[in-house]
Amino acid sequence: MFFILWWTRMHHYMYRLSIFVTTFRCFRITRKELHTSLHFSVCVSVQDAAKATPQGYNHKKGVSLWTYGGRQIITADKYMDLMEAMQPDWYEALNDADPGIGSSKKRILNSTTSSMEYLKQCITLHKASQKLKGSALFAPLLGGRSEKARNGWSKSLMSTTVDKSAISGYTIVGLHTNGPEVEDLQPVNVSNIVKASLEPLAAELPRQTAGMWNPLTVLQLAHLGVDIFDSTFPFLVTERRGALTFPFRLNRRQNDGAYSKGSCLEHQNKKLKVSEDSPKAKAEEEVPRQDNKIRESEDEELSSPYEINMKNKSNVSLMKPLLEGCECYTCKNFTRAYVHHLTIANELLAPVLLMMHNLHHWMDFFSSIREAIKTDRLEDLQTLITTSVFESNEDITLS
Amino acid sequence: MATATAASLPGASVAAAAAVSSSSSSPALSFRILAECSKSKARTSLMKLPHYAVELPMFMPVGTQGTLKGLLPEQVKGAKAQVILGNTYHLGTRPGKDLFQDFGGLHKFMQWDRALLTDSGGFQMVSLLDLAEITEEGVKFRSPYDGSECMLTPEESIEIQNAIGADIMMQLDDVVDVREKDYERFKTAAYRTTRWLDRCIKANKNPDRQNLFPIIQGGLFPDLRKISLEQQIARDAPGYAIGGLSGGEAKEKFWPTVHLCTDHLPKNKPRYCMGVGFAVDLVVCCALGVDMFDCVFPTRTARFGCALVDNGQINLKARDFANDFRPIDEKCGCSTCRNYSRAYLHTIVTKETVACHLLSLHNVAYQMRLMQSIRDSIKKDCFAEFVEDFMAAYYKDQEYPQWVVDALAAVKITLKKNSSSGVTNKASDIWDDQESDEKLWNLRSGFDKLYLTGYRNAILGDFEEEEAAGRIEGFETAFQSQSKVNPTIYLSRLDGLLMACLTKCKSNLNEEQKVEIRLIQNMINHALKLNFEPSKSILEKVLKSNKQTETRNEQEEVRLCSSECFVDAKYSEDSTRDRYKSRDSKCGCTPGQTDNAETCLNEILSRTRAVCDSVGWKIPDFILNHEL
Repeated sequence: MFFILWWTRMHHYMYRLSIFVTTFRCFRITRKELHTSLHFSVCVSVQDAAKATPQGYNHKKGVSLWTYGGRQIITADKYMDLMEAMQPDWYEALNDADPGIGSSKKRILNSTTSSMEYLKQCITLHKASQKLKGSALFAPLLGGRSEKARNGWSKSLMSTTVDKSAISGYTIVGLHTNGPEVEDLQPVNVSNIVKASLEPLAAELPRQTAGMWNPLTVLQLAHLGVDIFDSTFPFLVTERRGALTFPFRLNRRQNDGAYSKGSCLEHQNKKLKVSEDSPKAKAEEEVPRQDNKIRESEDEELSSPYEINMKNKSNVSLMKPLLEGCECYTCKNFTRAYVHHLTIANELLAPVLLMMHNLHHWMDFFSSIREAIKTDRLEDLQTLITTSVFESNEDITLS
Repeated sequence: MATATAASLPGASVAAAAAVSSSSSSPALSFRILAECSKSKARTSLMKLPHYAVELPMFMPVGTQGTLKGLLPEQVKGAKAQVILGNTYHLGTRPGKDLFQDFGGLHKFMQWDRALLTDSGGFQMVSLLDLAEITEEGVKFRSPYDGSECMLTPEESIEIQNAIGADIMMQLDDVVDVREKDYERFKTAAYRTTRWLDRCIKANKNPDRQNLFPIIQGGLFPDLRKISLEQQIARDAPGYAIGGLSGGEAKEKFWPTVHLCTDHLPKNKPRYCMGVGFAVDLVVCCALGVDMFDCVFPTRTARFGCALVDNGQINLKARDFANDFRPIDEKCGCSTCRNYSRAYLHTIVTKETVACHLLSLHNVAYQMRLMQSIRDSIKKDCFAEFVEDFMAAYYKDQEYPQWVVDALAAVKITLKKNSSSGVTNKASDIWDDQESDEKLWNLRSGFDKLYLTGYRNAILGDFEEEEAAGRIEGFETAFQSQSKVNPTIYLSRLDGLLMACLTKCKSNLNEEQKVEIRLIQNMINHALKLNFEPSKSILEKVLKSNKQTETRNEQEEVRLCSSECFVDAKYSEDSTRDRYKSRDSKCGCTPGQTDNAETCLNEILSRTRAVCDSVGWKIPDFILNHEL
């Protein structure tokens, strides 16, 4: 009867960042337990966005969840029992978001049919439950990779067949099957299908999408009107021992005159620094640059242009923080040499420090996105990241 | 500053009378005794180091590679650690002494502003023996990382330690595996260690801010230890370490060696016993007059999911904790105990890395709290009482190992066997009886360890009312999850209830009620025993003991028989039935007589109910939930 499920929001390495609890023991972990130790909102999704969900295991009876104890088939009833036990602030309705790239129309149809069934059951149970009075239900947006199917599904949500009063938001699922591969999805890959999903919906409800979206795709999704993302990206970057360094500060870029050494990113640092640094610092800067090239050829798959790899030997004696000017605990206290030492020594503190930095960076990135939307400068932000990360505008453009 | 801190400490005035103040032979260390135990050799003192004034006796958590297993420096400070231990050999290999020179030492590198101590790397002679070769010049290691060879000489060791910049450095010593038998090897090692000490002292570039501690060697041979002591003390160092122990030697030989060393070491200098970290060893060694300890145990055991508590350690992987919503230790103030329940930790332990951090934090905090209690008790001069209480809590039923008794007796602390009330003994009889324990554990019925935890708490009577409610709820879930309930669960529940009743209402019960409870318990036990271990020998044993017991009358025999038949009936479709067949003839009734069994169980139930009513207890519903 007892089993452990993976619900993912974000992964936590340290207790102070405990908004990111990944695992709960169902039934016996009470709301009190969850909330007193967290002091934050809790959201529950069906699958873990950080782990690739094996495909082809869902059928009419229920959805397969992948737990520590193996596969569990979960029905809408059981799922809602769990929600009652956990009482999250919000949760997505049970859904079969399985169909990946290249799924047949029939598979998509099956998934939407059963998901609609689950959704209706969830709505009924949600409305009947006293315990879930304080929890919000998010309806899934499905339809695989077919614009038509997505559009149709969203329209059916707005139709009279679904009790809209119980739905407090939407989560876009089925764009991918979770795990690190999501990182490779570029804006152009998801733009149209997300548009198709969102187009029929009412504007006043929040939209969420989980997964390891890279920063540029996040921007594109935000541009299309997605509101809620998660920290799978910084988590998986930490797992491969990377430290995020991509730039996102519009204001500082704007006033290039006030651009100080301490507030910029390495990429730009390299371009802008000409005279201010001593020869020694200059030499230090050159080393990672060379090694970047080597790294890219050696283990390309283990890194991305948004980050620096802390396994890299070039960090061995660097006395500077992961990212100059970063205000996070790690950057304020520790040097790259130390983090590199911990990484090489395989010490547990390495991912702790990296996660603190990466999460901080990711959060700041989002505050910058909010700022950019307010001032209608989202495109500038996109250009900033594109140019500084990829140093050219090829391939990636705003649609 | 040392004086100011001392004066502000509670109990310092008491200490003043007993204090043996001292001047140290090192400008980097001042040491003063604040209080001494009036019975044993235990003392509490203040040692001022360049980076931090530490209170002794203390435990130093081990951060081999410049970090303490996943904990941030702030968290380590929060756990009240005063000194972290680093390892010269590991740090010298990676990241290397040049880097430390550039960075200005390990303190800055790892952001630790309290004191550091570095081990010399001598111990790695034992732990990496396959990779090391020892000569008079030094130790030749092959690097486990890249296979390259390096020579660790006393000079090299000190050079690295100078670069690291620890407050206390250890000399490079010739460590011999304590299980080695060759006397000559130990003799060589003891003399060589002193020769190496002289080379270390000569090599130390920072005597003004880094203390160098000699290490006493000599294995388990008193004569060699004495030679080593004499030679090392003659070097007039700021403090001394007792080395070469904690390598798996018999405890009977461990403590006399420590005892001998602390007898001879100068009183006005700190004494450090290397590699000691189990709670009992810490308490005993404090009584023997040791001031400093280190061990990887608290953090290592955390990685395996174990948390330190007053009676040893609990493994949070055990299913007992799945529904246990208490913190690891209610008395513990660490952030793990303040925020998380055992149930939560059980869920994530050995699966999520954060569990390891949380447990490491608790375990370090536990060691610190233990040392704090020791220091406080010495200041109040009630260390002997503290030791007695500690040992009584650690060893249930006061079954102290002989070496603990002997070691403490050597410093005039006697451990009394506390003969408390009969009920406790009865309860612990049940509890400690290995055989019956195993029977309970081996139950196939799904009635699991969880229930035993409840049992234990009921017996020991150390749970509060609301906790009792929670406990019952826990049982309920566990039992309800079993769709096919075995009658043993039913019986065990009643048994547990009676046991709790016997303990909790001890004072209210009259003799008659007590006898009644025991009689019912006997009935239950018989039924259970037959069910748990349906072997012939046990059955015979039970039957035999029945005949010898006066209280057993014929009626009981019948009951026994009927419960056995009841078991048969229940398992009649099972393969186990065959085993019972042979016994059918003996008791003269057939497996089909379920009436008989039900009568028996109903009697147990009605009598239990009568007893419970008479003391005003209500039988919890869940016990009665399942139809038999």
